[in-house]
Amino acid sequence: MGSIIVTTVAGGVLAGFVGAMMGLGGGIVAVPFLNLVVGIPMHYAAAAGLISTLSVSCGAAGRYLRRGGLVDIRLAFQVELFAAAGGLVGGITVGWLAGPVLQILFAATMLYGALHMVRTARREPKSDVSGSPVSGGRRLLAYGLCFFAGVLSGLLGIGGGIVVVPVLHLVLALPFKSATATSNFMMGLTAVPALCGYVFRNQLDLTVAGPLAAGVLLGAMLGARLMPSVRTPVLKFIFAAVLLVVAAEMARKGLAAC
Amino acid sequence: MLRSPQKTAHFLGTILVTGSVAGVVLSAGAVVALALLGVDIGPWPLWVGEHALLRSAAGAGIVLLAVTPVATLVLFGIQAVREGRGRTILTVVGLFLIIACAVILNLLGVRSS
Repeated sequence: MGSIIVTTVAGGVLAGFVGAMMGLGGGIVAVPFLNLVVGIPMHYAAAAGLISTLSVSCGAAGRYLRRGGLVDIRLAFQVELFAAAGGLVGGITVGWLAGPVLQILFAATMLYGALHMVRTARREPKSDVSGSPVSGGRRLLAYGLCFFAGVLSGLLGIGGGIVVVPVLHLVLALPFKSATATSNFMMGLTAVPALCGYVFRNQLDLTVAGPLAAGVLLGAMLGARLMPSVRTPVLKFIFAAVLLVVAAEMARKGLAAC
Repeated sequence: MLRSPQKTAHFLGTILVTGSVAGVVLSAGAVVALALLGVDIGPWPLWVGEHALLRSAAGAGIVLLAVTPVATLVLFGIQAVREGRGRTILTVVGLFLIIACAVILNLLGVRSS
């Protein structure tokens, strides 16, 4: 049991660090780590992935909020409203829509996001905290995309951050660092309902959840401390690489199921 | 009285950090204590059986961690009510209702993220 705790904490630190730097929940690291390295069944690993999301959200966003300027609180709640509504619709309509087609569509969207991210990566932003004002139409487009992202998230079981960060940055013109910090702030709320379901079905292994939360929180606080000093192009290139990996995995699953 | 956005952000950040650290210390501390005692946490309900206090603490820590982001939403909403910001109040209430619906659907077994 002791070795499981130590390994889980170590994996959690890595997941939290990546999550805080990229505006993701850390599940992208934590779930495969728990499943493949610690040997926890996928269902339990997925439940623990939500604990990772909560810890990253609280640890990283807490620090970003206290530092000031990076998190756009009102925008976060507005965007989250549409993403959460989409997630609700997606969760209910699972099984009604063709999964493989959606997976391929999602992969194509991610690929576009990654290419756009690389294309704009070389430009250093004028500011990390304030974006340029956007038109009402662009704002509506962002809300629509967030709703769609929420639907896909509910249907495909992917984390919200991977979609929300590009929407905040590319559509709402939020500086990249501000987009990742705002995404970190939003994602905690998204994780709560799904976690309730796992707890109710007795699929949350507390032996793993506690140590994972501790590791992730530590990693997230460390990542949030370092993120402001990392150059934006570096962060964007890493994020684009993460997008490409997720897109490839989604496309592979979608094509295999066709 | 209107509170500046910087003060609001700092206040919400403090809530997030304090709540999460308290939850994580409680949960991880209880898990480590149980490991030292050589006891398995076992299934829910946690408040029944041997070492009920430690087992409950492990679960309570996770509950505290989960409640923390919701608490920030509620506190932000309360502040919006005090300041009379109608659109923000609607956003917070709408978000709260969606989360509540998603929780209920998850508890009923309908998958919802």
